[in-house]
Amino acid sequence: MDNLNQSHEEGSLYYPPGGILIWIIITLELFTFLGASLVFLYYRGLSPMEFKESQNLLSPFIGTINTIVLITSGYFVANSIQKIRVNDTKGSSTQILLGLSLGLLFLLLKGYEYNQKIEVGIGFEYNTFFTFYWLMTGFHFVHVLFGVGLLAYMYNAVKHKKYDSNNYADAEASAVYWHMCDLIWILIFPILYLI
Amino acid sequence: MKKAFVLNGVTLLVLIAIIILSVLLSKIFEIQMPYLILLFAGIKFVLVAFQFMEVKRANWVWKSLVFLFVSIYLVGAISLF
Repeated sequence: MDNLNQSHEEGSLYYPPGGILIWIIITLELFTFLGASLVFLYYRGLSPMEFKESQNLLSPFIGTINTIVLITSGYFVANSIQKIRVNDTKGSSTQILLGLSLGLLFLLLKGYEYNQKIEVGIGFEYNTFFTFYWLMTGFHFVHVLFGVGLLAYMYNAVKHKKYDSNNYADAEASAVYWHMCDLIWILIFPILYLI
Repeated sequence: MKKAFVLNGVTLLVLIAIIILSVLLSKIFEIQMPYLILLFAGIKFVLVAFQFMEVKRANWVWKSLVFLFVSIYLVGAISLF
């Protein structure tokens, strides 16, 4: 804890990968989405037919592609941190750029899906299922949008050699935030699209 | 570092396999196994948290928090389903 720019101290309670502040945010965010998921399932139990019929209006193909895109993006971002640790800034920036591009692809596909729904009049007040759909995926969309901004900043900083093997705490915190977007999607994808 | 890359790559392949298997079970074969799909989601969550977020290198409190979270998700979801 002497130098906050240092990477995390392995096994330290107060300094997990990315730092404790980002982990407090992540914990709060994840529990918020957990609560929303459980409330969604509660309402699903009240009117299972309506929820099943509404779920059939979603495209599992787009949902699946988006899941793979986001997870693969997380893979590249995880690799970028490994590259910074060995001072391979060129390799790291390439990995971040790949992750960033896939993040943008996720947003584009989600935007396309939103557009499809709006065109056929499936909005926020269509029914209870879609109120949850718009709220949960919408909040997730905003998180991904912010994450793309963080990755863009991270890409620029790595490219200009602002981080090295002894100073990459900010980059690690940004990467951990990006993985949180993966985790949120992992929670909401099966309950909205699959089960 | 090479080991970390290999592990990340293997994790990605396992994650993609689980995603595809979940969708196949649910939508193509139309097998009604919501508990299995939720369990797959829990496994994906742990894999991303431990390998990509490197919770595996964190204090046991953070590791326990991940398992506590997944347990609440699974128990809550299964009991409400």
